[in-house]
Amino acid sequence: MIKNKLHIFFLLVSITAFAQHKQLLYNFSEIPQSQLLNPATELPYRLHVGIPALSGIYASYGANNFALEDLFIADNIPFETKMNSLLARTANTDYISVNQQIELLNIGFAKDDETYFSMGWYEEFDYISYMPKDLLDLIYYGNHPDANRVFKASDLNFKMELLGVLHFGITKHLSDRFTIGGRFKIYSSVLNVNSTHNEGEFTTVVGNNNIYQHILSNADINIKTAGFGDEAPNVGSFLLGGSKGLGVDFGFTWHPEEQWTVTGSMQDLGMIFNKKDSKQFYLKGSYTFEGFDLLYPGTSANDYWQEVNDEIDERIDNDENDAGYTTWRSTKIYSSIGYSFGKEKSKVCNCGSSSGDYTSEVGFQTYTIFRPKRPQYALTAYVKHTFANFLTAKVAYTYDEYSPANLGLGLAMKIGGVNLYATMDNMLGLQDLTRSKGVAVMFGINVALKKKELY
Amino acid sequence: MASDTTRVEIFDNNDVRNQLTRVDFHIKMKNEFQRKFAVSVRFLDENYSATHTINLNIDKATMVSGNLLPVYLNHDEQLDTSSAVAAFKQTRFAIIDVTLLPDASGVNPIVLGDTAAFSFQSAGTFYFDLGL
Repeated sequence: MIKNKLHIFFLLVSITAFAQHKQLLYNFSEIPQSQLLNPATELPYRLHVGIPALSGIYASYGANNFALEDLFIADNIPFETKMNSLLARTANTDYISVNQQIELLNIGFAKDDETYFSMGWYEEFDYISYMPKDLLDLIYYGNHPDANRVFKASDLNFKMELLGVLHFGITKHLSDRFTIGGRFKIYSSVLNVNSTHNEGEFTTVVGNNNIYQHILSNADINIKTAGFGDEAPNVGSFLLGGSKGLGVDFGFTWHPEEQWTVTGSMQDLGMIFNKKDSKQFYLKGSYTFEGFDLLYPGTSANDYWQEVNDEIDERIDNDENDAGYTTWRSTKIYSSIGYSFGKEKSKVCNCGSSSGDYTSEVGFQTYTIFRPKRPQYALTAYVKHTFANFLTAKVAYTYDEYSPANLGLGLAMKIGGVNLYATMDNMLGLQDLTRSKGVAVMFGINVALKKKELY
Repeated sequence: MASDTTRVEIFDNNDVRNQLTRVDFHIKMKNEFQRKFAVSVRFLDENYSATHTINLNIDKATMVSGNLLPVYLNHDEQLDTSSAVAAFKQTRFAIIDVTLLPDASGVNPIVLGDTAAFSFQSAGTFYFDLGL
């Protein structure tokens, strides 16, 4: 008996990312857009109108375990050494995230002293990818030095969405001490790519009948896309022209004592039904490959090659379809407790707030966002102060997964009926972006009028 | 002589072709026959011209005190020069020829029903430059 075996190592190539924590904007009631984080935020205004496309521009980037300097700083250390070091410390729970928003429309007005309506339309891009540790190792090192190592498909975990959001919110003062709010959202998803529930393993072991044996076991890998049709996205795509979805925000503001404020909110509890130009690519099955196993005489290699192909096709279901799919938005939860003090500001809003009448406030905030693998958390301490009744500044120190020393500054200025604001996160990181693991900026312009300015 | 032809499809992929920098071949053989074998692994391009050839001879097994002692052969070979790799990228077929070499003594014929086996195992390790 003569055995002829040809064995070829192969590489699986996989390319497969967030930060939308707005700790500076949260509960910053001088900025109308703060109601987008907590619909129960007590605005000191009777009317606000965002300047279209300029009322809220936000961008953030974050990587919890990677900075550009890790690979690209000029330090005479070979790139290969840096890459080895980076891969060694990378975990499959590490992630890269990008979030960007542009507010296209934002209007709010007080129906009476107790009720404030707000509504608008914004565009959002959101991307998160967990580091596919096993797949990166497989690509970079190959499977040869890792015989018996298990490469997990579950490491492939990412999602990207580009969408328009139409929203309508109500803020209701139930009493001088308690305010609730809710916001109803209609999502119009323009583009969506999603691959978050992959399973299966790939292993190379020493073979019985050949030098090595490759084992793909219980693979269930899928990539879902929507919106990638022949027609290019347009403005209408962001306004009900995409795949539809529904969501809600709700929150509360409570003053247990005159100078104390407790808040909480849940944002983007919702889902999108991805049906427009949807596609699902999937690979399911198990297969063990040990190379060719020819028996002489009687079997030709070509026949055997075809047999192997047929067998792989039979055991591994690798196909695509046009089925729609549902994705959950990344829900966020904020909470805060603050103490107001200092001089009393002039009462101008009749908004029921007692704490807002003081020039200074200190407090803590928490933030949680639910992501595909696990929730992410942040804790913020802040100080807020109003200067001369027209300029309010908020300084926040945040401990999160991007940085243990995230110092941010938010400014809101009101000149006449014009409200200008800007927030900048991780200011220490801005000194050298190549060393920064995350940065977020936001700015905008509104026309915002208090009661005395209206009547 | 036994011979067979195998299609090599890995180089149908442009990325694989463009980024390949080195190939290591690993071959293991075991011969239980009391006859020598010559093994030729020929890699051929679309025109059946050789892109790389590996020629190996394995000695015959011996009988010691009534016990058959098989012969083992391990062979590692590396393609790492740019010209050798460039030629190898053109590979579309692999032909493996196994030839039973004549035994001058004529005392060890292979007869029908002989349970001895000849095994050939091979692996290739491909190295790619991903441009990082």
